[in-house]
Amino acid sequence: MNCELFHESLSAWLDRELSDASLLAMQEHAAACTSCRAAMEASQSFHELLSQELTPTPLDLDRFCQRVVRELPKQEILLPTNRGVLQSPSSAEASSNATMSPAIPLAYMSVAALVGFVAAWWMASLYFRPVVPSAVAKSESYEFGKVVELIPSPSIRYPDNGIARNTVVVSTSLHQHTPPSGSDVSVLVGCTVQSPQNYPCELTTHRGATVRMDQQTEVKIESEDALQLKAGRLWYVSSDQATAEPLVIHTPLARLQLADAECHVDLGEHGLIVDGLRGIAQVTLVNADQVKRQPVDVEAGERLHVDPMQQVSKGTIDPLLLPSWMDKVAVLPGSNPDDLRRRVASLWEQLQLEPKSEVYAVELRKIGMGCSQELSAFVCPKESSPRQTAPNEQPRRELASMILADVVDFDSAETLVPLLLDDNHVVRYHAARGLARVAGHGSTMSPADWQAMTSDQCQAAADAWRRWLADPHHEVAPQLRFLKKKA
Amino acid sequence: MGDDQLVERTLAGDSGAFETLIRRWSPRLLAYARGLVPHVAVAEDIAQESLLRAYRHLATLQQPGQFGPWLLSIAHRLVLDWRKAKARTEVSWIDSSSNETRSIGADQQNSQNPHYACERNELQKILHEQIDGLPEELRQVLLMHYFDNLTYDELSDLLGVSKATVNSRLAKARNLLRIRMSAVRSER
Repeated sequence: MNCELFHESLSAWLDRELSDASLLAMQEHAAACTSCRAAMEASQSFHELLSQELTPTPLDLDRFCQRVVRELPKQEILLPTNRGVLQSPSSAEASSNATMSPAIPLAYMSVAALVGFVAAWWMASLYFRPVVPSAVAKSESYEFGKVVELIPSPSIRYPDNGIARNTVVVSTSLHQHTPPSGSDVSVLVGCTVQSPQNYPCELTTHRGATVRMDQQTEVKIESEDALQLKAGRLWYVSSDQATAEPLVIHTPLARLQLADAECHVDLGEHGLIVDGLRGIAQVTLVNADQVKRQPVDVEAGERLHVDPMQQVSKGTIDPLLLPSWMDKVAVLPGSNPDDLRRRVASLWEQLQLEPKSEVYAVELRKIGMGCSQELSAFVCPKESSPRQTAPNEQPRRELASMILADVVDFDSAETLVPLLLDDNHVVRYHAARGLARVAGHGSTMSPADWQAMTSDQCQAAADAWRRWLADPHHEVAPQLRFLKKKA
Repeated sequence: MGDDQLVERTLAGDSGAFETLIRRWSPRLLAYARGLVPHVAVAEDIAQESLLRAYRHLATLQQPGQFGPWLLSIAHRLVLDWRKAKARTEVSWIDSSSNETRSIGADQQNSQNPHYACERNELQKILHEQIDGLPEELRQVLLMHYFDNLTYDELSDLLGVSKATVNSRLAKARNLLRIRMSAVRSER
């Protein structure tokens, strides 16, 4: 087991969810690796804190069930009508009796006629009444899993040029419902949503994202966050309903705020990508902590890049708030070295507060990805040679060399070779470890071995690695084990 | 007897069948609600309303065998409604004076020491603030894991995600919480 796998398994270890084999491998690794052992202990103590503070609340299940059962007699099962409307069994029975009864009393007919007249007058007044600008379109909520028919009512005039807009509020989940054939629109919750055949409708997810579906649009709800356009066009409707901007959205980790309404977007490999906007839209990024960033203008076809180092052209997201994202995103080339240094320095301070935390170790490695040059400059500042570095800089140089070693970036190899001759034996050790990782094999030499090696031996190692680098096929990696024996 | 048969019997007028469904699904329903809502009493109310709403709308359930997931989705909707209402009234679940908040593991002996109690209250406050600030999917799995002692298998079943996802969410939740707590504590 290596350190990376060890850290990945820590959570399962805490929760006793590991197999015997994995448990044994972890114990063996922890016995051999001091930093992982420290990470294990730190995780254990935090887990104990959580266990202590978040004690299970006793649950009186019987009392709860009795409470619900007591309420049951007050409820009645609603029956669906052929229009998809639910009504109580008593009223359904009444209407059924009324139509089936052969003899209807005269008084009853009179009342029905009167009611009919009043209803007709009311509908006529609705139809001929001028449209009230502030009128709100009819909005109904449907239960999860229900297949609904959206039928625009000709008797109701809606604010937007008489087009009926039906808002379907959908809770998403992951199981399937098969639509009956012939329905106008199928709301396949958790699966696919299809627009009506001849008029648009709006779809609102439970997270508040609103999309207007054009004709023949099919939207797939893949998970709780993702809305995926399958065909046709997906329209994003801003809250003022004045304009509808077509918007193509990829992936679902962060929230994008467009104008005043929200939807969910994805962070692609290189950050957030928004395209397909018509005109200029103002975009505000909201991170997982609901912190809003400064709004930015995005033009049609423009891409919005967000990277974890906050070297962002248009917006920014705190990487600490999106840990899963960090696993996928490398620092974009061209990151600002000053910011990188500041960040490494800040993390170094944190590391001193909480030594050898696995979180920081993971994060530091992420910083290293694609930033070998900057890190190299950090290990070997141009303004001073390694041998003249101030003593308090040494721990940071060791840290940076460790990151360089963990990054396994081939481009870092040329930087690592001279570090084999560094005065600091920890830097030498990490340089050798990094080179071994780049070459695809592990190093069995410890920092103590590198401390014991003479300068000639270090020079021999550096020469061997230079030869390896010069070899176009990089076939024969230096045998450091052999050097160790010689030492 | 399977859920589908119980649903059909309920629709045929056998209320005892729905009682069986209540007893079968209440533990998972409560655990699910408690993972989303920090107030125990509110979570119970939501679970109860979910069951009653499911009962009223049972005839609309297309696949009776999917009663459980359908029930949980109703609970999810109710939680969202509750959140909207909560956002309007701005009730904080961190309020230590409220009897409805999550129970905290109490160490009776030490709690008599005023200094210890004060520190402990501060720690609890920070912890609960930070838990409240976690992304929903992480908070839910964390609370369900610790409050309801649910295993990875149970969480995976309940949330409809793989065990690996449960593992990864728990790991992220703990890591994020540790980072934020250490940052907040060093600030104070």
